[in-house]
Amino acid sequence: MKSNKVRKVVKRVVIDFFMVGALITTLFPIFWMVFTSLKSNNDILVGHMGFTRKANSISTIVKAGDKIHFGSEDGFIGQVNSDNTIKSIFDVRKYRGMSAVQKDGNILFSHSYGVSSIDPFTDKQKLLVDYENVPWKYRHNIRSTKIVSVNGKFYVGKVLVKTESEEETSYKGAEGFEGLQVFNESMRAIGSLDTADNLLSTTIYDMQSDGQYLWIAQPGGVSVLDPATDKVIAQYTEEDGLTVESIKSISIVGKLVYVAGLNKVFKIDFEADKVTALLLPPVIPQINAIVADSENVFIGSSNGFYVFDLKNDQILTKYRDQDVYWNIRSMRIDGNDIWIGTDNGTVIKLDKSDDYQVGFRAQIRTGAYDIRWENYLDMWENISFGTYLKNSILICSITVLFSLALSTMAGYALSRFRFPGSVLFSTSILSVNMIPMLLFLIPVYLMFIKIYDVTGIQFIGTYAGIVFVYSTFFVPMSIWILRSFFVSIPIDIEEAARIDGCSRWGVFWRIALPLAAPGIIATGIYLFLVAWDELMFATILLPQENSFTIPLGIKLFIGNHQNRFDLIMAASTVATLPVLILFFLVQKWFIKGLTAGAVKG
Amino acid sequence: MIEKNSKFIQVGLALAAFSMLSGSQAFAKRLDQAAAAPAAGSAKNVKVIRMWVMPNSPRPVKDLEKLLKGFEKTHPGIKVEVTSVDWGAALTKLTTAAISKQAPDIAQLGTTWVGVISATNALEDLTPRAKAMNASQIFLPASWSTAGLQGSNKVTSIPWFVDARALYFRTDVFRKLKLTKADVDDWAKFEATLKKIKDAKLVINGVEIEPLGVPGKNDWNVLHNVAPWIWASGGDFISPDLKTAAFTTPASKEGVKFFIGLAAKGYIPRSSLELNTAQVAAKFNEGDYAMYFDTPAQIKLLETPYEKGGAGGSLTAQNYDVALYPKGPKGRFTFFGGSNLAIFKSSKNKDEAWQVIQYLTSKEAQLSYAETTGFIPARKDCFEDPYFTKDPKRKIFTEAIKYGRTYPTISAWGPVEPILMRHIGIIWDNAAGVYGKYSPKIVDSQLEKTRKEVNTLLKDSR
Amino acid sequence: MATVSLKTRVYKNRHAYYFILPTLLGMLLIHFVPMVQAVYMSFLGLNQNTIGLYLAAPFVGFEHYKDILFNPDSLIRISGLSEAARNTFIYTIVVTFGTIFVGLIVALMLNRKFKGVAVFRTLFILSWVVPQYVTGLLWNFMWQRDVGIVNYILVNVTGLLNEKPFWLIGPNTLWAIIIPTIWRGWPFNMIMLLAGLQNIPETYYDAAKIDGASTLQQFRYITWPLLKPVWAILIFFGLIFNVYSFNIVYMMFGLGAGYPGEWGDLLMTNIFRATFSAWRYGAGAAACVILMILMITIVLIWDRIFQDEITVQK
Repeated sequence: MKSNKVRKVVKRVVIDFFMVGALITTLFPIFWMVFTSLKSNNDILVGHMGFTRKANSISTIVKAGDKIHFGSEDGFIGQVNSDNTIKSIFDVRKYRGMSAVQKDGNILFSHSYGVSSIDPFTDKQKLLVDYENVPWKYRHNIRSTKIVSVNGKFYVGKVLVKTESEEETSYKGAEGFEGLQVFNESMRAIGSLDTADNLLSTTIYDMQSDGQYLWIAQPGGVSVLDPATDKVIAQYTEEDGLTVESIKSISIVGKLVYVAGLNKVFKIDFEADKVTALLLPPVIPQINAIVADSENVFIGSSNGFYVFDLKNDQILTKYRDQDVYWNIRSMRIDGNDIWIGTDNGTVIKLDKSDDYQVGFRAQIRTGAYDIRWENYLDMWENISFGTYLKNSILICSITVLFSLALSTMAGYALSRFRFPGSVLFSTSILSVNMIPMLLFLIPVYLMFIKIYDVTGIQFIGTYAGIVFVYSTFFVPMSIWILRSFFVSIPIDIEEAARIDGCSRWGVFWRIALPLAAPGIIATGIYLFLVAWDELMFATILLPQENSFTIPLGIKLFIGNHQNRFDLIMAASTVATLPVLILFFLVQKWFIKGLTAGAVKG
Repeated sequence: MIEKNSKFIQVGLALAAFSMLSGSQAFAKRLDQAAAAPAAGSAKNVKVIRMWVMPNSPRPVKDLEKLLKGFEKTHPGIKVEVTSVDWGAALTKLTTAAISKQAPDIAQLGTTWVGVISATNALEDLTPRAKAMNASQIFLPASWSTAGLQGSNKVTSIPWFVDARALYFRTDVFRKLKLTKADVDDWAKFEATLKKIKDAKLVINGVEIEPLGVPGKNDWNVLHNVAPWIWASGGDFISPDLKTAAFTTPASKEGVKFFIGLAAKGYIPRSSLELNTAQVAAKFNEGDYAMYFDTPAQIKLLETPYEKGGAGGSLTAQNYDVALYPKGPKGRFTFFGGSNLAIFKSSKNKDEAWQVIQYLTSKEAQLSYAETTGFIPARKDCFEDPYFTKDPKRKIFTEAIKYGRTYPTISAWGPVEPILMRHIGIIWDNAAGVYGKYSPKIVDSQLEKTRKEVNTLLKDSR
Repeated sequence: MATVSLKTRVYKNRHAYYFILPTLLGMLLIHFVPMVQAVYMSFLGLNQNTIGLYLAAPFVGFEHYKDILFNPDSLIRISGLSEAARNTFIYTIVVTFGTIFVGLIVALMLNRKFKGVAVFRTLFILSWVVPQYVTGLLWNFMWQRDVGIVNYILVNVTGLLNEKPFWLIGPNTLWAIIIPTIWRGWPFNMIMLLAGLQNIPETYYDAAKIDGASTLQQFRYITWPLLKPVWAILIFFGLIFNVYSFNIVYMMFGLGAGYPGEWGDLLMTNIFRATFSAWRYGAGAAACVILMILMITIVLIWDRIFQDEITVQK
C-alpha cells in the first residue's frame, strides 16, 4: 500500500518535471525573441548570447596633488597610486560623462547629475551642483561633460545627444541648461552661454584655458572666450582654414594652440592670427585627443598613438603601429609621462624618456549592460511601422467582423436546414480549402482591375479590397467550425421559441447566437490570427506603402544593404503583442469555445 | 452566464451587421479615402507621381523624399509619392503591375530585370525623350547598355545609379603580414595572400581573422558573386549569339572551380556560407574577415556611426581599404549592376514622370543621392566631382567600373537567373561540406545540368 | 420526404437561402470566377512575353500537365519541383503527426487535477499565437550556425554535439522548417485533444481499473479509440495546412532572396518562385491544379477511412 503511494508520488513528480520542461521549451523561443530585441545588432551578429557590457571610456585624466586621477564615462573615478595600483575613489554607475578639474586640492568632477567635489585624501564627496531641476531627458542625453576653471570661474560644457534626430546635433536645453554654464568660486551658477552669445553650437567637445582666455572646441570650429566679460572675442572656423566638421580636442603650449578634429591637426597662432595645418599622413583616422609640448604633438586617435615631430614636420613612424589597437579617448602630459585613457577603459602611461615604452597599464571595470530599449524607437523611425500596425489591426478586425457575420449565418443554415443544394454547398465549402491560394493570385488581381475599370471602385491598395478577399477566403473554414457549434446546441429551445411565435431570424438572433457565443469568439480569434498572418495576397493587393500590413513592412529590415536583426526582433515582438493581448482577453471563451463544440462534430 | 455572454455577442454582431448594412460601397469609399487618398490626388491641381523604389538606403523613403524636395520646390504642380518595395517581393510586384494598368508611374528596375520587364511591353518607349537629352553620351556606356531590351534598339529605362563591386580589405592585417594592394592583384597572388592570412592565424582585438568572407546560397547576389570569376577566366554565361548556354566551357568551369575552391581549401570559412551579403558585411565590420567583396554602399556604412546602425568608428572602419577584383587569366572583371528608372505605359502623367526622372538623373541629384546611399552615379560627369576624385576609396570604384560587365539584357534572362542561382547554390552547399567531402566534379555535374536546363529555356523562349 | 416536390422543399427552407446568400455571392466572386480563370490559365502558354495578353495568350492544351508529370527536363520541373514535392511530403507527414503526438502528450499531462492547470494551459498555447512570419524570422535567427542559440545550446551548454552543425544549408534544412512548424502548430491540436479527453467519461477508466488494466492499456483501449474523431479531424486540418505551407519557409530563407536549397524548398514556395521569379504563369497554374486534384483525392481517401467517426454533412 505504501509503496503504491510512493510510486504515485514519483510518477507525479516525473510527469510534472516533463510538463515544466515542455513549457520552458515552448516558451523559450518567445523569450528569446524579446530578449534579442533588446540587444545591439553587433552583439547579435557576433554571437554574444547575453547582454554585453559597454566599454567604459576614460573621458578625463587630471592631476591632483601629486597623483593622477581619471574619470570614466560610466561613473568611475580612480586614482593611480605610487605603487602602480588603482584605487577607486568614486563609483556610481548612474553618473555619466565624467570630467574633472582640481580646486584647492580637491577634485571637481562634472557629470550628468551635476558637479561633485571629492577630496582625494579623505574620499569625502559632496554634490556641489545638482541638475535635479533639469528635465530628465536632457540630463539623460548627456554624452560627456567638460569642466575648466579660468580666473576663478568654472565653465561646464556638455555634449548632448539627441538620438532620435537625423544627425547628432546639439540643441538648446532647458532654461539654464544651455551649452556652457558658468559658476563662481563657490559653485553658484552665475550665467550660461549658448549660440545667442555667439557660440558656434551648444555642443562642447573640449575646453582649455591659456591662462587668460578660454578656448572652446565645438562643431564648426573653435571659439575663444574672455572670462572677464564672458564674451566670445574670436572664432576660428572653416573660413579660417579649420577644414573639419568639428574640433574635438585642444592643447595649448605657451602661445600656441593646437586643435584637432577628424584626421587633421591645426596650429593656431593667436597673436599672429594664423592657422596652419600640420601635415599628417592620411592613415590617421578620427583624432579624439591631442596634447603637445614644445617639440612634439602627441596624437591620440581611434587607431592608436602617434607622435608628430614639430621640428621635422612629420609623424615619427616607428611609434605608429602599436600591437594593441588603442582607441584613445583622452590624454594628459605630465612631465615625462604621457597618460592615455582608451575607449575601452584602459589607462596607460608612456614614458617619453624611455622611447615611449608602456610604463603602466591598468584596466578599469566595464560599463553598464548594453540593453537597447531604443531598438523599439529605432524600429518606428526606420520604417513607418505605426502605419503598418494600424493597417494590420484595422484590416484584421474588419475581416473578422465580416467573416463572422457571413459564417454564423451560413453555419447556422447548414446546421438547421436540409435544403436542396445543402450537400453541394457544404461540399464546396470543404473543397475550397483544398485550392492553393497561389492559384487565385493573378486572377483576383486582374479581376479587381476590371472592376475598377468598369465601376471606378478601387480594390487594389485599399482596405476594402483586402478585407473583401480575406473575409471571403476565411469564411469556408469558419463556416465549417461554426456549423458544429450550432449542431451541438440542442434544437428544443429553438423549437419552443418558434412555437412562441418567434421568427426564424429572431430565433437565430436571440437564441442560437448567444448559445454559440464561445464558439463564435473562438472562431473570431482563429480568423484574426489567420488574417494577421496572411502574406501572399497582401504582397499583391497592397502595393503602396501606406497600405502595407506588418508582414510586408517587416521585410524592409532585411535587404541588400542591411540586416537589422535587432530591429526585426523588436518589430516581431510588437507584431506578436496585439494577438497576444487579444488572446489573453478572451482566452477563457476561446478555450471553452473550442472544447465545447468542435470535437463533437 | 448565458445572459452575460449574449449581451457581449449582441453588441459584436450589431456592429458586424451595421458595418455590412451601411452599404459596402459607401463603406469601401470611406476606406479608400483613408487608405489611398494620396494616390487619387489630394488636391485638384497637384499631380501625384507614384514611384516605387527598392531599399537603397537604410531609410529608403525618407532619403529619397528628402532628395525630391528640391524637385517639388521648383515644380509645385507635381508631388512624388515614394513607396519602398523590398527586393524579395519587388519582382512579384513589378510583374503584377506590368500586367495591370495600375502600375506606378515610375519604378526602379534592377538592371538585370530591364530585359524581362521590357518584354512584357508594359514600359513606355523612352527613345525619343532619351535622344532629346542626349542620354547615350551622358551615361556610362556599360550602364547605358542596360537601358533597353538587347537588340530592340528601344530605350525603356534610364540609368539611375550603378553598382560595381570591389575587394574590401583590412589594412591592419595587411600591414602585419607585410602585404600590399599589389598582393591581391591577380588570382595567383590573391590565393597566396589568402593562404598567408590563414596560416598567420592572426588574432586582433580578440577575434581570429579569417581570410575571406563570401555568402553562400542564402543571398540575393549568388550570381553576382560568381560572375566576375567566370568572366575573368574567359568564360561566360550565354554564348555571344544569345542562343546557347556557355557555362560548361573549360574556361567557365575553371572560374567557378577557382572561386568555389577557395571555400574548399578553407580560405572562406564554412560558417560564412549560410549568411547573406549584409551579414557578411556586418561580420567584416566586426573584424572577422580580412577581405570580402561588396559595393560602394559599404563605404557609406563604415562612415555611419554605430548608434545609427552603421559601423563607423569600429576597428575595421579605421583600418580598411578597397582594391579592384583580382585579375584572372583573361582579364579583370567585376559585376556591374545598378538600377534604372522606367515609366510604365499605364501612367497618366508621363511628362511629369519624365521630369522627375530628369531631375533624378541630373548631376546634382545624382551626387546627392550617391552620398546618401553610397552608390555610384550613372552619369559620367559626376566622377569629376571632388566626392570621387578626392576620396581614394571611392576612386577605386570609379576605376572598377571600367572593368564592369553585366548580364545580357534579354527577356529570357529573368527565368535563367533562378536556374543559375539554384545550381550555384547547390555547389556552395557542397563546398560547405554538408554532403560530405567537396570535389570539383560536383561543379562539373551541376554546371552540366545548368547548361541543359538553360538551353531548354533559351530554345523555348525563342 | 421523397415525395415532396423540389419547389416546396425550396420554399420551406427559404430562410436557409437567405442565410447563405452573402457567403454564396462572395464565394462566387472570389473563389469560383478566379478559379475557372486559373484553370484556364493552366492551359495557356503564359510567360513573360505573353502575360500582357492574359487569357488571350496562346493555348497549349495539356502541355504544362505533361511537362509537370512526365518530363523531368521541362522548364517547370528543373527549378527543383521534384525535390520540393519530396520535401513537402516528408514535411506534411512529420508535421501533421508530430503536432498530434506532441499535442496528445501535453494534453494527457494537462488532463490531470492539479493546482494551476488553467495557467499551464494558457501558457502552453502562447506559441500558437505567434504569427507564422514571426516564427520564420525568429527561427531563422535561432538556427544560425555560428551565432544561433540552438547550436549554442547543443554545443556550448549541453555538449550534446561536438561540432556546430549547419541548419540552414544541407539536409538539416528540412528539420529547420519542420521543427518551427511543429512548435507553432501543436498547441492548437493540444487544445482539441484536451477537449476530447475531457469528454471521455471517468466511469470507463474506473471500470478498466477494476479489471486491472495498466495505464498503457487504458490508453490503448479507451483513450485512443475514443479520441478518434478528434485526431481524424486534426489529420485533415494538418494535411491541408501543411501541404500549402508558405509563410515560414518564405520568411526564413532570405525573404525570397534565393533558393532555400534542395531540402528547404516546399511546393508552395517553389511554385511561387516559378510563377513570379521565373515567369511561368501557365505552368505554375497547372502545378497548382495538379496539387489541388491530389489534395482532393487525399481528402476523399481520408473521408473513406474516417467516415464512421466524422459526420461531414452529406
